[in-house]
Amino acid sequence: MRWTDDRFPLSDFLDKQLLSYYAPKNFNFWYFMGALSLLVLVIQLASGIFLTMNYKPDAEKAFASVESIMRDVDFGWLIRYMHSTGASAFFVVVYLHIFRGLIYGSYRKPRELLWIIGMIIYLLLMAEAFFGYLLPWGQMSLWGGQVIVNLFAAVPYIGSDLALWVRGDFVISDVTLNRFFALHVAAIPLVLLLFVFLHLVALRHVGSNNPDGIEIKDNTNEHGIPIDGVPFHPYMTVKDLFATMVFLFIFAFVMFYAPTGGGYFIEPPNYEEANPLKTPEHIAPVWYFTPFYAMLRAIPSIAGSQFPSVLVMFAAILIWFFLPWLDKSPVRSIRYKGPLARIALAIFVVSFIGLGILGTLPPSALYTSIAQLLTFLYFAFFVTMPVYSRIDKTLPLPTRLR
Amino acid sequence: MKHFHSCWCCLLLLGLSWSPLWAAETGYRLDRAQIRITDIESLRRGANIFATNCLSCHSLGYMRYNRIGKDLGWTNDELRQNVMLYGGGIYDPIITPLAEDAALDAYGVVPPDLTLRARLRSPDWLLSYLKGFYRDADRPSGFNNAIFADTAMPNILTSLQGIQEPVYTEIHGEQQLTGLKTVIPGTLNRKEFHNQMSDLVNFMDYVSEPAKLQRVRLGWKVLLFLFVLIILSYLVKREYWKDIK
Repeated sequence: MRWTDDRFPLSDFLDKQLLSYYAPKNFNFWYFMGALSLLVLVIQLASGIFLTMNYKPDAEKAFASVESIMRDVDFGWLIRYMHSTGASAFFVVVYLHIFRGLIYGSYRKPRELLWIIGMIIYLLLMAEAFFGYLLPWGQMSLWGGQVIVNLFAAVPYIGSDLALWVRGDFVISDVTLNRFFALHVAAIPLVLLLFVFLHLVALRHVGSNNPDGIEIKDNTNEHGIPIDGVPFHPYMTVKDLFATMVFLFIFAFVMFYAPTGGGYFIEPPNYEEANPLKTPEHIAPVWYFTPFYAMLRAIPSIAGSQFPSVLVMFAAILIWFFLPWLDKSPVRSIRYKGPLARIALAIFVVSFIGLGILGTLPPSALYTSIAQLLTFLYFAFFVTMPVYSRIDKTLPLPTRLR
Repeated sequence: MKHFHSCWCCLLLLGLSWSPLWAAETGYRLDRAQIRITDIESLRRGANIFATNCLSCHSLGYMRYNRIGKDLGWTNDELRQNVMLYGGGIYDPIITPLAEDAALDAYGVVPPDLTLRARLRSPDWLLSYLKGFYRDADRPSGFNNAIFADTAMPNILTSLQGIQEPVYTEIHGEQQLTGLKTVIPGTLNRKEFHNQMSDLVNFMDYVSEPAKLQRVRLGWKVLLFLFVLIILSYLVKREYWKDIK
């Protein structure tokens, strides 16, 4: 250790990150999700590398190579289910992680950049999932990809050229498969890792928020150590270790006994090889995209252009970036916010989950009307936030963590 | 506050567990297939039924003969006797002897590869399809199907099942196909035919995912191991945290 420390600040680094980094002691269920996202990231990278060894990014061979992984490669099925379950698990923990930030005000000053870096990670994750979904080259891969690429085609004037540039061909073809493969296994993961690193750097700098939404740094003892804080190691590491085991248990259960997730994690139409001449009856994206897909379908086209609905869909994601400046409440956590904030949050949750459910169903006139209402409520949550968060009756903040 | 949290969790779970309606396009009720992946005898019977009745037209192109032999505990000779009715090598994929041109001439379509059909359609759909042929003079083959209207597949199971005719019921002022009745019995009675088709569907479900045999056998061991780790890690956590607060 001495030898290394003279040449590399290893002990210094570990001490700073683990032993003298203090985390609030009142972390609850929601605070496991950050560590778990990191765990899923590692699962995805490891299983992905093994899949790459046997997968063939070639429109003629891709579908068969996935079946070969499932049958001929030793434990190939396990690796593949790990990766497919991991994709859904990633979004489960990331959505819960974002929701945690939402209820406890983790985006408020001084954590605005931490939040924005996090939202960039979310965007990258969506891109990663989208590119990866084309690779098995099943019917849903092709037609789901078709729907998303056509979003670019909706841009006025340059749309069709833009879509052509994305696809590299006039239809989704072998060319598209090859570039999506490159983006999925090399480009996006590298950028993703960079932003995950930045997310952690920012977190270590500003420190964790907590369910009470007050700063533990405001209450320190004579050594400058937060009274309500505990050293990250061993306290948080053992707590996260326990959460990891519970998570892995659920993960393994899905992987071994419900790998298709009831048709949500792996969709049945994807067991038919991609066929550009045969449109599936009902195209639905994987569950984690369905809220946005429902919005896309809910907004009517204006003057024959799909562009407005595409704009609304992107706005629904981009609006998250402005959250730190939309919330004017004097308190961070929902625990001390007033009835207005609670009602608004409940409406938001209902609209998001409602849109998610509608996005999996075939469209109908009734569903479209409901989706329009829910889209309105979704945006209302953000747009009216500066008003209701200001006039809301908040509870007095405690001086110490409870 | 605790109630507030569990409430959100329930809502999220509810959202995730919403089940899609992949199948069922008509008013006709789907049969429920009993999938018994570990019932090797049933899988063996199903493999034999497939080889005798289906393999003449349909391939299982992603599956190899030797994998079936290994999973169902057959020696190479038994495998040749029961499944490899059209010859081929032990390590070959299961390919029908029917050439594509010949199929096009005879049926107008190439019969689809059936390796993944159980995952694409669901075992319930397959069972209902196999049992769903009925007499229809308007069709070139003389038969139609209750699940897959105007199917190009001829009713090759007539000798076993007999001949069925449709039963219509008026629903919302419309005549809808709701059931089938046997008008000329085949060599098997209703129950025997159902059992044979169940074995076949069980086999097709296995073929669509042979790894299922491995995963159900391995899974509970992994879960048990993780369960022990959950308890141990909980005890460690409790030991460290007992002095806090």
